[in-house]
Amino acid sequence: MFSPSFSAPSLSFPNCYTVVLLIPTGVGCAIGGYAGDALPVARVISQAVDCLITHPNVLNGAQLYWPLNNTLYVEGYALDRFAAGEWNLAPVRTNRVGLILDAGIEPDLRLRHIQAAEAVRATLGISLVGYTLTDRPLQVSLQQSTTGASWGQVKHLDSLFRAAQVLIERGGAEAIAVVARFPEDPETEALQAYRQGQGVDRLAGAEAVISHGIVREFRIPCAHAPALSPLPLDPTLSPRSAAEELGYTFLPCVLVGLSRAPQYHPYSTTPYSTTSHSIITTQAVNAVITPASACGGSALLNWAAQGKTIVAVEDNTTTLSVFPEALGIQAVRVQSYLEAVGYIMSDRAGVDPQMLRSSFPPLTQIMN
Amino acid sequence: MTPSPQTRSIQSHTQSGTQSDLKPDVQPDTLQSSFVTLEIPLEDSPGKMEMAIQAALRQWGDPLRWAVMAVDVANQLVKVEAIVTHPLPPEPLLSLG
Repeated sequence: MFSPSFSAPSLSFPNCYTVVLLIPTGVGCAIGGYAGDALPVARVISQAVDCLITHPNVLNGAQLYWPLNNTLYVEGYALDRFAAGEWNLAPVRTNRVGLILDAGIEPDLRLRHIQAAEAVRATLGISLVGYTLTDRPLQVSLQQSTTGASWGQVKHLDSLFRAAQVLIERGGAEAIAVVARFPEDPETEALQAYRQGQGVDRLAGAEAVISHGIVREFRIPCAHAPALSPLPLDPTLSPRSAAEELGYTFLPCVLVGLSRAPQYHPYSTTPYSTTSHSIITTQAVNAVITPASACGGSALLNWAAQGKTIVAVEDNTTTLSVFPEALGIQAVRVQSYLEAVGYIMSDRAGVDPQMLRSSFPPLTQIMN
Repeated sequence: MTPSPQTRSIQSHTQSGTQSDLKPDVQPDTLQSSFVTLEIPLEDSPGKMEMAIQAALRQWGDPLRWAVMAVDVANQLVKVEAIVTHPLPPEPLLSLG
């Protein structure tokens, strides 16, 4: 496990150049659709901006993670509310994290996860308030739609929410990590493809439902790690999927991310929301980077409506063909994340990116 | 706009009922989720599109996660997939007559 030292963020967010990096989960993103394999992208973009806002799918690499002092770990449902201007983000020095373990996890696997949490406390000094078991197995189910996207559901959402309430009210948790038992079948074609760095992450859709549910109900940070039995050794494993085969648990990255995830404040109750140096509103966002073929999410539609700079990356292909132009989104198309970084730096510097090309169109007269 | 996250308190889940997989001290489920697929008209701006999708999904429940999965420009339609949540109907009371 990688475990560098942390230091608290020291940003003054207003007037900073702030970028959101979106890489949707469960739609087979060529970069970021596997095991934390968009983390290198986030690391580079974080160096090009004052503040990077992104989500767990980008930053979670099972037992691998990388601390980025100017990067905010924001769950997808909260990103949607943030983009809509309904919630603001309040960076924190630390959160006390509570851990929910699905009662459907076998005793040995449950103990592995408790020990992983203990390791994160002892080795990284992260504050956990404790763990609780759901009062019944959550019974996660997986499905894949005809568009190829992964979806899933939790039969006993009430049980999940009761467990979160225990951690918040009795334990004082400020963020919630969930480990749910996921169905598994090592022989499925989808899993084999995923291990080869192809296809869609079948678990992703259900994982999002779990974290979205808790964030919607309790308005605090949440992230999820699936509990699965270790897979048989595969000598042809793709590097993009390899992070999930390092051990028994995907929990460490979740606990690290949640330990410093910003809190969510509803816009109407945020004091001096546009002037406080500790609050980030959607107005602070300068640009949003997204895969070009997955532009149909709530957050992106809202940011496009607000006139934010949308940078659409063509290299990061997905199973979808929802391109910005079809939805009336004015986007800058770039080929790669390398080009996106150049565009962002140019925008940040106030330099017209067209001037960095060998040729550009002449000025035209604007008629009365 | 999605309702406030605090509007549905878990402690308020007190409806009666029986379910076969319940332990005696476990409260019954009051909430369930559904996978929804919709086709709705393509709007001429992203802001209108977002609002139209939210409104369409609210007819099926409380939207939890959704995305546009396809755009049919020729027919001016978008295909949306979503997970929505909605209350479970209460178990019918047993007749004692």
